[in-house]
Order: sequence, then structure tokens, then C-alpha cells
Amino acid sequence: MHRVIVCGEGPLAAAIAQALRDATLDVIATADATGVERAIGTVQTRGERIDALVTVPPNRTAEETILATPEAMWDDIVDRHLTAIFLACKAVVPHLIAGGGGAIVNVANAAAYGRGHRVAESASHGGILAFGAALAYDHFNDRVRVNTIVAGDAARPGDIAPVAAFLLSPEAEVMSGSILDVGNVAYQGGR
Amino acid sequence: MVIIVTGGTFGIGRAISLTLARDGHRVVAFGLESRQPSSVAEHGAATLPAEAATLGLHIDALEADVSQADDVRRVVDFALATHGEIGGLVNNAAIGPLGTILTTSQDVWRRVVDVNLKGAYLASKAVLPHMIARQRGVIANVGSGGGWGKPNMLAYSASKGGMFALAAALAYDHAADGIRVNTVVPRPATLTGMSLGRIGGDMNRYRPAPAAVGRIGTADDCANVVAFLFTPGAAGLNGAILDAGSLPHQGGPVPAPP
Repeated sequence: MHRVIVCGEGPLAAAIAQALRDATLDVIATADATGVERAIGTVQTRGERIDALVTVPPNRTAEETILATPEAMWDDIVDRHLTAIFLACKAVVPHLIAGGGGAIVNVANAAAYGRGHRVAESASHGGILAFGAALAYDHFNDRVRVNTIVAGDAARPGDIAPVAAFLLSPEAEVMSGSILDVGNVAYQGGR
Repeated sequence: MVIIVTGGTFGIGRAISLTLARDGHRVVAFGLESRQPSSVAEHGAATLPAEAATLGLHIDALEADVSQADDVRRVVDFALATHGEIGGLVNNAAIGPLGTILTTSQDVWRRVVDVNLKGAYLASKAVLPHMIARQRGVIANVGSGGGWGKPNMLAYSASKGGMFALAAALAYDHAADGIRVNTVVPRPATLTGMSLGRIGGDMNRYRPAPAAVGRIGTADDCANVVAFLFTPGAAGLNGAILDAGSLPHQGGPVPAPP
């Protein structure tokens, strides 16, 4: 494990990038799947490879019950919270397979367990959990590990970043398809 | 940190004891020296300190039964007398006789629940006052994919499912005391006294499960994840389940190689 793309913006993406640099990894920070593709292209041009991808979700932007969620808003939230993860992973998986394997960590938030006034966001983040497991199954024999962190409501970037670094480390190399709650008793959605 | 490892003298527990000692912790391991139901583990306490010494490490190993409150108290008293504190506990001790509800006798059921689930309760109960007094502590449970329910593992599944809930309940109750309680799930069929015992000790019948990195999983894999829980980087983990098993979390079979 040497070179990692961190895909996402904000304090959490920055904290994860820093934790990975502290673990002596070469970090490429990107905002979206287009950036992931560009980074892969650049690295390939140098005859090098990417070993891992970490995706970080965008911040919450709206209060939305189903009644207050027009179709366009649903599409926008699912695009930014779920489809963006799909596209980033889709860009990197063939590259990881070609390199003999790799690791992906997707960070979801606690809306994955369902949260009020966050209908589209909940659906998106619940989707990230199932998407990660499906990806882990499909590429198990390609040695591509896929794990998902659920950032609990009270979890701070400093709580999450070292866990992401651990999941990319050799000590976690048998972990794939797992969902790891970070934050206080967030598994059950508690706070 | 001073860490007590139940069942820490053999199998996954032994790997955990050695890994924690390697990381600089003072480890007090205990287990039973005679063979337990459906296990080939024996004489672990007699051999662990010497193995640790060959690695330049020190581990205290005692014989004690985790299902007996007096035995657990004796281990806790030893740890306090020897090291002056207890900062960590690994609830690892377990037995895993196979069987459906039709083939599981009341005696087997009771012994499995007593060792796997009541043992975790007794050990946690014994160490918690010392952790609360210092307002910090780390408890790691070794769970099992059986905790989500598996065929022909009735009593074992029930005991391990109970451990998930026990850990989460402890995590809620003592978060404000600065104590973190998490559970690590090892790979199925990790080679141990338990997995070998389930096939009558016959290595020819052993079918290891491949890990996601294209090799066979070992007890050290689980030990590495447990060891992470005792590092500052795990400060944000409480009440969590860390699945070191590659996919049984979701209950699904691991895909066969093409």
C-alpha cells in the first residue's frame, strides 16, 4: 500500500488525507470521480499505480421529509451522495484489479440507518453500505478489499481518520465487506 | 496498559496475548489446561510464557475457569498485585461444540453459555470497577460470525449473538466512564483448538477459508485487529463490531475462485 486517492472535500477528507500522509502514504486529493480518473491517468503516465481509494461524502445540505423532497432534489442528493461513490469506485476498480489488488474505504454517515428529515440522504447512505458489500463480494477474488465506515452523528474527523488509515493498513488486510461504526454506539444509531 | 486476556493461552487468544505483549502491553492470560468440549486446546498456560520469552516478551499465564467468579477474581487480584492496575480486557475464551437444537443437550447448552457469554459478563464485571476508578479502559470481545446465526451452531450462535448485545449494552452504560467496548469477529475456520476440535483434531479434514488478500487467514489477523482497539487511533470506536472475517458480516458465502 503506497498511493491513495482521497475523493471528497471538507474537514473530514482533509483529516483522512493527513492521517494517511502520517502513515507515510502518498495521497492524491480529488473532489470527484473525474478527479479520480485524472489522477489515475497521471499516475499511469509515470508508470506507477494507485493502491487504494477513500471516498468521503459531501455535507448535509437540506432538510427533507418525503413531502418536502421534489424529484429534482432527490436526484441531486442521490447523485452527490451515492452515485458519486459509484463513479469514483468504477474509475478505480479496473486499475486496482490490473495492479493485483487494492483497498477501498467508503465513508457513509449515520443517515445510513435512517434519520428523520433526511429521506434522500438516508436512502443514499443506506445504499452506500449495500453497495460496498456488493463490491466486496464481486471483487473478493481480485483481492480488492472494500470496507465502509459509518461516521456516527457525534464522530469527529479525528475519530474517523485513524480508522480509515487502519483499514488500509496491512494489519487489516483480511477485512473486506465490513461496516465499521465510528462514534459512540452508533451501530444501533444511538448517540 | 495492563490487559487481561481470557482464553489467552491458546489459539486466537494466544495470538492476541503475544501481539499485545509485542505492542508493549503487560498481558495476563488465563485459560484451562485440560481439553474442553469440542476443542483440542490444552497446556496453553504451561507453554505460553516460554514462547513469549523466545520473542523477548513477558506474559503471565494462569490456569483459571472464566465461568467461575472465584477463578476470575483470582486472576484480577493477581493482575492488580503484580501490575497495580487493569486497563484492558479481552473477552476471548470460548468453546464451540456443534449441533442443532435437536442434538444440543441442556448440559452442552449450559456450558457454552456459561463459558462464552457468562464468562464475558464475569470478567467485565470484575475489571470494570478498576477501570471506572481511573475513568478509562478498553474492553475487546472476540465475537463470531455465529453471532449472526449459523447452521449447526445453535448454542454457540446464541452465546455469540449475546456477546454482541452485551458489548453494546456495556458500551452505552460506561461510555461516560471513559470505557470503550467493541467486538472483533475473526475469520471462520481460523485454525484453533476450537476449529480443529470440531473435526476431531483431523488436519486432513480442515478446510481453511481464504482471506480477501488471497491467502489463508490466521489467528494473527484477528489479533492485529484486536490490538488496534488498544491504540489511540481507535478512540472513536465504542459499541462497534469489527469484522475481520471478510464478508460473513452480511451472512453470505465467500465467492469461490473462478
